[in-house]
Amino acid sequence: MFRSHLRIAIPVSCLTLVLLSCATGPRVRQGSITPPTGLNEPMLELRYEGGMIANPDPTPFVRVYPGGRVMVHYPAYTKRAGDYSLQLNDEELQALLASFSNEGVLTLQEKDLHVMAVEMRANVMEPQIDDHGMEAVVRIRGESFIAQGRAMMLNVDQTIRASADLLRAAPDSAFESLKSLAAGVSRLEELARSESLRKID
Amino acid sequence: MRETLATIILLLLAAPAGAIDFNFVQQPGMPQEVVDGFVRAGELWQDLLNDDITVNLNIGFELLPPMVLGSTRNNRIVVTYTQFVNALGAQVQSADDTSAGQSLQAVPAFALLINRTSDNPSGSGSAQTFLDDNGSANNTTIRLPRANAKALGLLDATAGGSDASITFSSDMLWDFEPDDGIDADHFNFVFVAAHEIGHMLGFTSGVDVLDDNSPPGGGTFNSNVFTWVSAADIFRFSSVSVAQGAGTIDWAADNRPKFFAIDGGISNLGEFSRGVIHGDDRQASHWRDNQGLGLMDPTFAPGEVSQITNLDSRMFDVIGYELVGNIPSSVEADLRIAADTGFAVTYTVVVANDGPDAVSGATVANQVPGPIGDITWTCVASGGATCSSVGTGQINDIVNLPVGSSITYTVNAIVVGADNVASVAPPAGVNDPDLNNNTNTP
Repeated sequence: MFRSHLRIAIPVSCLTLVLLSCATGPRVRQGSITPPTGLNEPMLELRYEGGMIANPDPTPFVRVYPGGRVMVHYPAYTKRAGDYSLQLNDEELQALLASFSNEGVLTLQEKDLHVMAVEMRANVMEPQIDDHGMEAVVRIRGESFIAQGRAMMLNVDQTIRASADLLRAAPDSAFESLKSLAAGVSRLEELARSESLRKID
Repeated sequence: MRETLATIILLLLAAPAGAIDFNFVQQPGMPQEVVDGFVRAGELWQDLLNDDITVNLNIGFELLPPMVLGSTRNNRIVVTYTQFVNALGAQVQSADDTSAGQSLQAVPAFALLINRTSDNPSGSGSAQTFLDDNGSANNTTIRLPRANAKALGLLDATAGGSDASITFSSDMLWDFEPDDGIDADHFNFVFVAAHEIGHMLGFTSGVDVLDDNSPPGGGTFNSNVFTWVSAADIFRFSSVSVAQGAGTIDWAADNRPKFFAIDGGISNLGEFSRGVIHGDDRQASHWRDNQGLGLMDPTFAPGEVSQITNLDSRMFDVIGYELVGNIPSSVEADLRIAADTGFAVTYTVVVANDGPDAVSGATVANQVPGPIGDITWTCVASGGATCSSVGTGQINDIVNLPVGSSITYTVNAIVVGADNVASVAPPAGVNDPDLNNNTNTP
């Protein structure tokens, strides 16, 4: 049971060199994302929208930078209020990026999600757990996406908006791209609760 | 709520005679201030509602996904529209109940506006609304939270089993003591909990299910399978739905205004939210955001005090609950009216000279028939004419009129002796404490 709602925003500058196969298929090509040209640009961003909080803090919750630096922002209305950071080593960074570095995630479009939702949901149903419409918004950026030894995408800038219900249901789905996305979001949330976080004064 | 919990702790919030008993089933180890917060939230409803039912509510306090204040799970039952209407009819207690009952669509089926279904005449999944009045399952079914069904006598008042589960995030800053204000960075635990209990008691909309189960997120599905109309939805209207016929509800997932009414859609008492996906980014199971309508607004800000408003109370009144006291939720307004005992009239008299010669010293008179008084008049001359500029009483004036000139008298007067009756009546649900001053007696 889930609520699925994804909106995708891909800027015109995102040049797809190779026509990728439909994201709904069970197999997706794994690759790697090269960092954005600007070192100050995060490769990954996670923030939340909707839910019960009026005028929520717009600062992204988690940001992951090319060198492995992770910034976590807890709004003033949370127990951990403040900014934190931790440093991933290269191996940890690549492991984190791996969840987002496949053609399925990088090409997810609303129509693909529609197809997935129809297949996953045979009957009308309400969300089993009501989070008041909370959505996770993931943004992935990079200079290129490389798979099978060649650049398959330049100027990667993919934004995916997914409800908490959808992400909860994803691990049980047959869609690798959705499972990969959910695993990546889960990993980012784990980082935000890591004991290695250091508060920034 | 984790199902793996080996033990649970029961906390029965004893109710005053005739009020709701809240049976809180809590996780082991919950902080006492959280438990107390739930109890106080329950007391807010006990102060408002007078129904002799027991509500079983699982409560939790744990780590939730980031930025989620709370999660709920509401257990529901399905009844026929006929059962629902009969149950409402058996519980008429207030003026609002009477008005609401009189405005309900006739059993056994109700008509509704709907969209985004596979059988939409404008095309499968179309956003265009259409009137669904074919009497099929979604026109004859009401889906009620168990607590709402208990209040309506459609489920045993003390039936066991969970009515709902509510879990709050332990990651947020909560203020558990609303009486001395809410700290600026904290959320009002008691009132957020009361809000969630409000959903469990019946403030919910099936439009969220349609919103969620239509393209692009799901579906399309035939309209007949959307058997998710709630009690509150029966009082959900729009100008478009009412134009289809009095009482026709608006159950469409779109961004048009929808409002709460208890007179078949004539009087807009307050707007609803319109849906997360196809509406205004807020679940339809709430009042419209940022209008300060009440506890069932969709969002809470840090530092917000909140309150249960008359509008909140009126909704719970008409969906099957009995309000405590003398209908405190009813809007009260002492309307009065006064009107002149005569009719004010204004008319003009125009005098002109079409030639061929000029006239000096002509007499203009105007004898008005009938009971008329308080006459005053003014005169405006043009084309070289002359007249008295003002006068009182019947016109009797000496004028000069060159060829092609004219004079216009404007007369103000009161027609006396006629009965001039005026009245004002409050709309449905508004209590006027003094009806003696609502009619003007000549």
